[in-house]
Amino acid sequence: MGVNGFLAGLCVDLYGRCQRLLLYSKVVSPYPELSSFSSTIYTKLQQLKERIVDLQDSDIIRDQRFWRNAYEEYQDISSEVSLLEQFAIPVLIRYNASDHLQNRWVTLFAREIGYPQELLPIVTTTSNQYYWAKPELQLIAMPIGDVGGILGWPDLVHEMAHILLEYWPDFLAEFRPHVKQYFDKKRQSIIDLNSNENDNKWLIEARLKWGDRHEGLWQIEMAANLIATFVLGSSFGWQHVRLSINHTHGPYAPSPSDPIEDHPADQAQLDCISEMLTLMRLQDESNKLRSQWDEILNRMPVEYPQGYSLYYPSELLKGIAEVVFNSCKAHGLICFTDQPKKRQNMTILNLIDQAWHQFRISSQDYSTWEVNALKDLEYHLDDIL
Amino acid sequence: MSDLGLLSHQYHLMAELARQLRYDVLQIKRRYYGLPLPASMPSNDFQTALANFQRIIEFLSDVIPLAEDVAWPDEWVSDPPLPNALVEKLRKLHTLDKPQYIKSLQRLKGRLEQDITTLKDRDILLLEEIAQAASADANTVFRRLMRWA
Repeated sequence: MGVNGFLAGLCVDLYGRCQRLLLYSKVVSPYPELSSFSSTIYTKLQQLKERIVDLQDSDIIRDQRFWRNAYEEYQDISSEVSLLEQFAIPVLIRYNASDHLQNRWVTLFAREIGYPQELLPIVTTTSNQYYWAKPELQLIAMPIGDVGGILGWPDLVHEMAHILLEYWPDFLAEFRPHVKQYFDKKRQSIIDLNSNENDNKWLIEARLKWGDRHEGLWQIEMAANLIATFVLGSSFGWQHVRLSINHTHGPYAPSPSDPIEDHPADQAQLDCISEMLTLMRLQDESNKLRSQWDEILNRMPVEYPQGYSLYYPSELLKGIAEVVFNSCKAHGLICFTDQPKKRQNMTILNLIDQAWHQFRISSQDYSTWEVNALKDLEYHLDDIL
Repeated sequence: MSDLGLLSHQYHLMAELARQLRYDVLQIKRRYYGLPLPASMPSNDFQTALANFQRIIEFLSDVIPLAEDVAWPDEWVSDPPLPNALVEKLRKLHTLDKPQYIKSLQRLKGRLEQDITTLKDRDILLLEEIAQAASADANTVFRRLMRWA
């Protein structure tokens, strides 16, 4: 068998794999919220099958000069099939009462904050990688330990924000000129002052990370935090402090001279959240958050790294907070401070807010409060959904 | 978003780019080898593919000669057609023949702009190398995403 024949054989094998996976996407679930997700997966698998057939029928798979092109097309289809197999099919197979409960509160929460119904995610409680989202599938995974733990839920809202950012590509359009203007100005001052090579290298890295092209992930991550803060208020900030303690490897990493990472530094994230709280006129909450954070930092053996402000200039932190604040309003999301004063009908929003309030005033009694609050929520969801 | 979420986002972007480059190279190769376009490929896609690669080759001709810590010209900084990591990959690949590589890129730029019929086998290899580097980068992120690497 020649290499072309072997590749053609692999296409047959991959087609069969798609067929088997399709069976899982056709299973009828007792949970109605799963049907839209199943049909998305079904459609994607069908499209991948069509790509396999196109490749099989194509002249390039039989022509030595095009073998590499055919090989790369095959590899791309195979990767896409594997991603569905790894991330989507298990959601369908394992969907259970825990997932259903999470999806019910997310549905209710979406109504409370003006989140578009057509972008509602499907939530799976099977994550072994903390919270993550695959926005193109409208899929969010959360750790099973947070099903009965409200304090971590703001991170689910952060993942919902990633879906919005995928489907609202112009959401951050107003921020792009800020980035360009800031880095052009900074670059000129480095040239004028004849600064060292490191400054220039760090500035190039920072520009890539703050940019909106391939490597630019920081503005997306910051924007998701800011959207979550806009709708949740300070509870997102408190969850950020909790997450930083649970998962961090230092408040200032990555800084210049650290290996470059996809996430911006925890300190910069907190600064950004704080900017948003100020815009929302929650200055007091912002001060409390900062004061708690500073107290924690004071007890840690960390030093403010050289060049940190090149990576995280306050101009950009303020700029992105303002852009997200305005964009959230323009896209119909409801600001935490614009919710009706007593918020009697804001079940989930109140629950998350109260959970963090309760934790902060009496962390020792918090667990008992949380168990009761979750029982009440289940009854309430049975009544209204 | 956890690392997995951001990796997924990054894979999505890189796979899209690799797909686009692969498609564009295929258009140019088909024309070069006189292979007819299949019904599914609109004929005006060739002009788009050509324009895309003209821009990419112009970009590489400008930035490959620069040292790693020297800022790119303004127009490329704000809207680069390829990610920085891919430029670095190509730069590394041609560490030993950098002057020759730059000359080849400049010749290719001229041929793409003026007369496509003057393309040589070596030019096709240069175009394929760029598309393959993008596929390899997407594949690396895919393996990290699947936790195979």
